[in-house]
Amino acid sequence: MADNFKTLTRLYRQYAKMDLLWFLRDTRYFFIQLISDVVSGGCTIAGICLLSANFKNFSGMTQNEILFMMGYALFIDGIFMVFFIGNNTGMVSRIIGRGQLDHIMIQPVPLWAELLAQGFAPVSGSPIMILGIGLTAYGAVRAGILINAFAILLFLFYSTCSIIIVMSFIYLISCSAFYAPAAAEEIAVVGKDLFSTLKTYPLGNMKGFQKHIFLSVIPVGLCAWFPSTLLIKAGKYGLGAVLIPEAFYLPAAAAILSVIAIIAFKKGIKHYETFGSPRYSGFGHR
Amino acid sequence: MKPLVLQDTLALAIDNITKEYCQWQRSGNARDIMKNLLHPEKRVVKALDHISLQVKKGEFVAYAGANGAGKSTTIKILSGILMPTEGTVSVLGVNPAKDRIWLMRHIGVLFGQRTELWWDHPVISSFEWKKEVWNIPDSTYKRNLEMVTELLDLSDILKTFARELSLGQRMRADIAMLLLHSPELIFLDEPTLGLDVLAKQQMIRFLKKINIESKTTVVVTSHDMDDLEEMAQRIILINKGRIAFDGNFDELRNVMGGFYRIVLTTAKEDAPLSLPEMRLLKTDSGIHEYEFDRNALGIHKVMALLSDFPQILDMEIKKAPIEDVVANLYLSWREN
Repeated sequence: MADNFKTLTRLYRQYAKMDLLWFLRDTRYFFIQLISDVVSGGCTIAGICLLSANFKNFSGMTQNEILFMMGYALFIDGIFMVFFIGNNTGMVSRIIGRGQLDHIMIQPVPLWAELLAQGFAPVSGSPIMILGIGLTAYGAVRAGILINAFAILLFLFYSTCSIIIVMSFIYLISCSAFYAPAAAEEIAVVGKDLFSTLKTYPLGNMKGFQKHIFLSVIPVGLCAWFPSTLLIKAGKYGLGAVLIPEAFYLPAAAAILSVIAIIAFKKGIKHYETFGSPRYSGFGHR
Repeated sequence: MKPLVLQDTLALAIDNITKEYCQWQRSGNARDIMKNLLHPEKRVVKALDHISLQVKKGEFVAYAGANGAGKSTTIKILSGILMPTEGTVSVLGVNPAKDRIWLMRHIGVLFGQRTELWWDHPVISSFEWKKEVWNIPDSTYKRNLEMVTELLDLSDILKTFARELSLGQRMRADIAMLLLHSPELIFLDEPTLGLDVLAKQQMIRFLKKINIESKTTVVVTSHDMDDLEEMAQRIILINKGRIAFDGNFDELRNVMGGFYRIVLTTAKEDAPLSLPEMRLLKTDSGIHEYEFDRNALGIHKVMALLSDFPQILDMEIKKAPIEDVVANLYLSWREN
């Protein structure tokens, strides 16, 4: 366990260094990326402000609460960009479908450690995360949410649960690439887009059945709306305003979904080892 | 249980392994669409069929066969990437599927058609990455980096981005990276693929050197039989998933009749000589090439035959090119 932790730290350090070197590889590329990040960040903020204005008092949330929720959603996207954007780690169906797991399997580190670390891009992937932090803080202040150490810890805990849900969902659907590599090679992108486009919609006015779908089978509601409402309740009216079952629902869902994803991925790996790289199978890489 | 001494001297022990793949079959006819959907036709292909072989530590082994013979499948099984359908495999005394992490610290694997270099980074960054992932001690890394830089002439390309390297440069950088952790055993799948003559010679010299000086066991696959003969002491030929030959290159020639070539030079206008004991292969401007079976026709008999032809200006006797020997062998397998 301690050895694995050391390995993971070593890998994170190395990928952080490589990301920095890649980001600063060339003056021209550096400035182009910087400008495109600023433009894209500006568009994101403008889009969010316009949406929050349209959603004013929509679904039981004030405009500022909507702004806070969108900041939370942006922060989740930021975590994805920092930890999973590099080397297709977040788009794992591409790695599986293209038979690139072979490259990882010939490295003397646990498969999970390499998959966890190789997507780390703390420099090139950070702009969205920084914007997410800024917008969440701005929304919290505007919405009158109390900010203290506990509130920040709770925010970090819930956002960790949300990103676990996003990644578990992506890994779960990506497992289909073990069995149909060409057809499912891009399925992780579909999964990611699902969260990117749907998670910012408030579900407050939705009917029970529909809401439950978005809080369980297609868990987009667990990656912005649901945790935001809990954080707003706790920050505005105190922790007592949050019911215990709803407080533990998100961590429990994250734990269950991640276990299912791990089991499915292990089964997929077994299939990969038994039947070989899908690149060479009948339905292999095109 | 195998005796310990055997484990100590063996780099590889493959015992009766079989690997089966499923191939989907489609007729391509529209009328078969429903049949394909309801009862898809599959064919089981045996990539490896009860193969057993052993390789001692320090050996340099060529592993060859026609396309689809099962070479890459074997390398993948030995590297722990693929599991055999049946049979057991031991690499450096461990099971690759169970002890993958330990094994990867002690072996090196290179698939010639792929690269392990980081595409958007200079070569030296890929080396630094390898140092961290393999946790190579500073002293070992420094020593090996100096060694590969010198022997593979890498100093000019260490700071070049991998995507800007030529194929020959990329292969050299890949081989160098493979050796940074001092592997005891290396698997090379088509390492000379697409290399020019100079790059190939440099690669072959280097591999022979590390085999002799560092006692690194090398298992190499290639379609280029001349390269394999220059590198390896032993050749294992695989056909339809079975070992068709295991021995040295001279023994392989003898399998096909121990054929030799003789090139006779006469005046340009001379017709080929009449030598019924030999087979005329080609003739051009007074240079005539024949093939003869050395087991049936000894060199002294050849000399006696040629002494009747005073028009011979020059002669050269050589072994049949291994490429031709193996091509004939593949052809005979196909016909059978």
